[in-house]
Amino acid sequence: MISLFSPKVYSRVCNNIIQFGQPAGFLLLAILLYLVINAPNEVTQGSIAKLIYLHVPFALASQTLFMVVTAMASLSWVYHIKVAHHIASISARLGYACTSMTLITGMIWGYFTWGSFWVWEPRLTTYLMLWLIYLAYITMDNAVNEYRGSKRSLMIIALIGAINTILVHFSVNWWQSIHQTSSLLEATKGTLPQGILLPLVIAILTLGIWVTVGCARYVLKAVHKKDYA
Amino acid sequence: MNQLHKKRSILWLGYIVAIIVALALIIDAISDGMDLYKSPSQFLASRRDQGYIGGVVQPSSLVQIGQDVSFNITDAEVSIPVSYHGALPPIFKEGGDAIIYGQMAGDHFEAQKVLAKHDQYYKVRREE
Repeated sequence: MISLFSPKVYSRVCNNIIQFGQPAGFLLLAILLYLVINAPNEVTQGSIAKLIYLHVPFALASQTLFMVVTAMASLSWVYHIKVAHHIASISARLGYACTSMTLITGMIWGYFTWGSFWVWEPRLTTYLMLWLIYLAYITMDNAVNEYRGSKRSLMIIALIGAINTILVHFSVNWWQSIHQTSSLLEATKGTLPQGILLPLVIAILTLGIWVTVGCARYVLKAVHKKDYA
Repeated sequence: MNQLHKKRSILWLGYIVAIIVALALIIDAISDGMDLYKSPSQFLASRRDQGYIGGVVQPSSLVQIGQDVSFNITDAEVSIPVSYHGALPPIFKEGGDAIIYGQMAGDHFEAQKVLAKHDQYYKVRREE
């Protein structure tokens, strides 16, 4: 399994991701724009519900990226895999951006539906914690790189954050909140009509590809620099 | 897998277990306070007079005179009359979910904050 992280293998994987991912990313983005412009409005919320095509993909990406950060930070500390450290670094930065976008789109959405930018309820509070943990990870990452510090501190922040993402995920099921429960997970119950579901799936795919390509580009650049171990 | 890898794998497991136990204790301690609101019947049963109530805006109970609003908030069992002064949230409607904050004043609830809630069901608007 560890041989997967040899420079020969991951350089090839990264190059392939960039080569095929970039055109696919642009193509999907064009399709997405067409679908979103023509997407139907929601009955009660009207056109503001189109924020779903930004809010949900960014939220999904932010939580998935944190799982990647945790896995890679762990591999980096336990097995000294250099590329894992780089993947964790870029995933944390992209995840932080996604978390910020989720918060911003969510606040706008909340203002025009619930009637408030912010409510101190379970989902929003735990998600703000995720944002802060991302910030802690990135700050520690900078310090570790600059002063050649131990990667153990990074791993511990990642582990705490990983358990927080579980809290974020189940907060709407465990406690009474103003935030709705997941429409996607209950899609089989008919929560999302096809006119909304299709652009949403394309939006998730598009962001997924852009994030993956971004990671691959950063990893290729970082391993060639070799300015720290 | 050399000696250090083995040692660190075991330590890693130790960290995970420690963090999970700590978090489980924290969640158990704060869980009661994590709910944003109580249902109308839970609220009445709690005998508190201040807090968040979440329920359904009773159909045909909404009366709006300028900024003065009154409606009933209900679950399957009880219905609490609510008075409020201010603008209502954009998706607030009769039969829809609402979350209100305020305190009891005699037989009715004086709301300082009214929020609307949307569930996970989305429906397409038919444009004519």
